[in-house]
Amino acid sequence: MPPPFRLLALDSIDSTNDEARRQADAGAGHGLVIMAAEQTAGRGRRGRQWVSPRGNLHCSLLLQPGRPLAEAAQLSFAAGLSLAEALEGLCPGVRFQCKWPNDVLCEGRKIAGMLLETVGQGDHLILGLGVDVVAAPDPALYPAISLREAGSEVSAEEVLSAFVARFSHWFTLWQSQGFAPLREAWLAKAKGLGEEVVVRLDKESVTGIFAGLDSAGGLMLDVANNGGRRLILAGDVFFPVR
Amino acid sequence: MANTPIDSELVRALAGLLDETNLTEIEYDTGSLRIRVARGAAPAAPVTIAAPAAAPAAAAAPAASVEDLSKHPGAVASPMVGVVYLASEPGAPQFVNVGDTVSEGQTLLLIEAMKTFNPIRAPRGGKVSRILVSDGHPVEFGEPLLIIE
Repeated sequence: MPPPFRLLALDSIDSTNDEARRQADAGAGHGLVIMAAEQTAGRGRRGRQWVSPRGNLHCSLLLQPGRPLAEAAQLSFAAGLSLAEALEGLCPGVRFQCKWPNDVLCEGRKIAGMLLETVGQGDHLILGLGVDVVAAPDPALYPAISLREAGSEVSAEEVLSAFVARFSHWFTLWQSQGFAPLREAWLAKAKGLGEEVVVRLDKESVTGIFAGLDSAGGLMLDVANNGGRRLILAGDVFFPVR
Repeated sequence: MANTPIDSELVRALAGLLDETNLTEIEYDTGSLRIRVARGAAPAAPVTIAAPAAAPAAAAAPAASVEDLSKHPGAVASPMVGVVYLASEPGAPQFVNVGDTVSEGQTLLLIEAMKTFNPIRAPRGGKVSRILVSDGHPVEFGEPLLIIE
């Protein structure tokens, strides 16, 4: 792994994000990568369960971005883009795209999930990543696929190594040049740009045209029926089937 | 700005607009002054009015509250734009309730932006006297989230 990234490999853990938090509390610093063969209490957004069988990749990166909270959220895009690029390199001929803000799609289906959490006084950021290498969960919120189903024989370790290499590149570029280059590269891989999407929010769903990203990473949605432009900061994006 | 008298004309104008447009809430922000006029208790997504219309003759104003709580000494301000959650996940108990005594560093609520979750922690110990945001709603940078006294 490119320094300062270093691996702590575990067999079984409750959640790699929870272990990263414990490591941060115990004084671990930027660059610690925790990987577990299985998670017994894997989590997704808003307390959703993340099914974590052996063979899939479950890992968390402990980061110290050195930037305000509002900017650190842009690392969601660095994570999604890095994984899409890593998988493209490992699986030639398979199509990978990014879905706002940090999902990665393989042939239109969800191949990974991410959960970013700040800890302490906001100086540490934990980037949790799960990739369906050998098995995808039963379809729940969004149709899923595994790399095996997509025809690739890569291992979780290979995916992690390629991901960290790409993430190291984007993290360094983001620190030196800010969000703009990252935003542009992410948009070039984004699914549904300029097309109709449905965004499921905490208490409603909104349909509109995915017009782009604002300078902070919010999704700009031109709401249907002349509903004006709305900036989405949190929610789940869906693409209507035509 | 502590001694700025309340601009009742402006409040009446906003209240009139509230009636006229059938909105539930209007937020008016000049940068140095922020006024929110709302009916009822449950805030909808705020609508920002760029400039006040010519003040109509004062109609009977709806129940209006004038708040500039960002300068309240006990206010905990949002460090970012995002969506606020009062509990760790749907169905879980709130992190804090009005009347709770909290200690420094305790998690008060979560703010999500771009699928990044940021716990907002108590900058000091004290008693939660007001919670100014509602679960699942957007918050602005610097917006007062709750008051600890």
